[in-house]
Amino acid sequence: MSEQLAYYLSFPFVRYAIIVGVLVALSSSLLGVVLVLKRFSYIGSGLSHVAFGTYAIAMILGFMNDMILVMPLTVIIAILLLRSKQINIKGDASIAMVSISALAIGYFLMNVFSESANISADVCSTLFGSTSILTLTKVDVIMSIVMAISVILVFVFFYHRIFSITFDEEYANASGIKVNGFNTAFSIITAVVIVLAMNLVGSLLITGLIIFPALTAMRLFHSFLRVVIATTIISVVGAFLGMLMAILVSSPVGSTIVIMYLLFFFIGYFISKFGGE
Amino acid sequence: MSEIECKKLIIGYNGTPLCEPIDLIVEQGQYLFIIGENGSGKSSFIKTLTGLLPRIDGQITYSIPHQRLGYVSQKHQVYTDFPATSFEVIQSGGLYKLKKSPFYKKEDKKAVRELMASLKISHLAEKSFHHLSGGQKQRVLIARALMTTDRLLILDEPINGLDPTTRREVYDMLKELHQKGITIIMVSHDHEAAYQYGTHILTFESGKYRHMVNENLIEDEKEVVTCRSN
Repeated sequence: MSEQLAYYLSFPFVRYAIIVGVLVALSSSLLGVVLVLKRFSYIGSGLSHVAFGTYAIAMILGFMNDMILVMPLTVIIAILLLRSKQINIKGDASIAMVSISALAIGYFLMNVFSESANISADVCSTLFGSTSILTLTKVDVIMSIVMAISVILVFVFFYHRIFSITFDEEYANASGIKVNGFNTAFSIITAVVIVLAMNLVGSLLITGLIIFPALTAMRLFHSFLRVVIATTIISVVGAFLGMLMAILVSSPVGSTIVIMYLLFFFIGYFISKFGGE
Repeated sequence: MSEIECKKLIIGYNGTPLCEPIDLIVEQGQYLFIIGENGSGKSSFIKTLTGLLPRIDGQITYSIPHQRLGYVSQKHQVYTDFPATSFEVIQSGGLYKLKKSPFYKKEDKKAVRELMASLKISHLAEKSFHHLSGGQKQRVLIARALMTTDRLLILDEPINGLDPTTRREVYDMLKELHQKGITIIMVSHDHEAAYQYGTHILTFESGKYRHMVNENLIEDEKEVVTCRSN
């Protein structure tokens, strides 16, 4: 088995895939800490559906590079969604409405206008991520590295402000933090990470990358700092093992990582039952 | 010296005033209780003071930047299952100390520990905030406010939902802080406490307000108030 693994790892595209996978998982999980705590878990899947819709549009318009259209459109919708003042049922419903509409319109357009020979394969890979992860170029790898480093830097430099805003937005506001500016910046980063993560796991499984590590860490620890650190470790280890497994048994990358996360979650759950902090 | 001075201040939502124009001076060392019916404008008034609610018209002058007021808000049910230790919560009150740096300095952390010791809550430091009792939470939130300010506390119904013994503990804590020279402004439904502890009382009722000195204070406490007013 280790020989087989060494054989696969001798291909550069496999190594690229692992690097990108781990970095995307890491960035998504860090955002996940905030999204879960702000009760925004659903935003991940909502935005990924939006990205699916914009992908469909880019595809039928024949954009050579999808990102040019997908990225800005998703970012704009993310800002509108995350900044909507009411984060209660109304906010929830608006996210569901926008995301399902995007999904429906995207699928409709793909079927009616696409010239591709195999529409269902296109749709399937956009939804579940499939093998596209193994066709990454150097540019994709560099983009993921840049993105992951930016997300980590934002977390390190604004760690205490992020804590304050996530814990108590009103108090942060009263102490003069520009909460609206922060929320906008945060929406943009989330949208960028989600669009990039779509390559890896597809739009249906992104929520898994976002919420699982944070939820597992929250089972184990009751301090914000420890939760953040544990989240990064869980996401990196989980994504790495998930990708190795996906390569070995040639399973889809996205679902394998999410299943690995699920396993971690149950382990975390049992540890918290019998000990833990 | 005055901590807060309101001139012809009009409070309300979306341009609709809740009360007649307010002229009010809060002097250093006062313990001002704000009482009145629900919806009379008590909470809106202090939200306006903290800058959370834009004022419709008029002026507010502060002795310190209004971002440095110590505010304890009414709702803390929003924090359920949030992973945060009491230490982390209290430390977040000192956010202004960060300036441009991403991390707190050693002396900032020391200040948190000293504050916790002086409020007798050191034992809560590593405890998860959402596992604390109502009274403990309130004390931690007051401590957070004291990280932000060293002179002016503004509290919105801090004893709501607490049992009588815990209420007393919170009142005792505030009394002690007041005796140390901290000015306190507090919205409350508890009229009895207002006359027992407050040096001044502000009442909101059907669009009018009334500001008065608490005549029930025992003589030597009254003297303290007048001395500080000068």
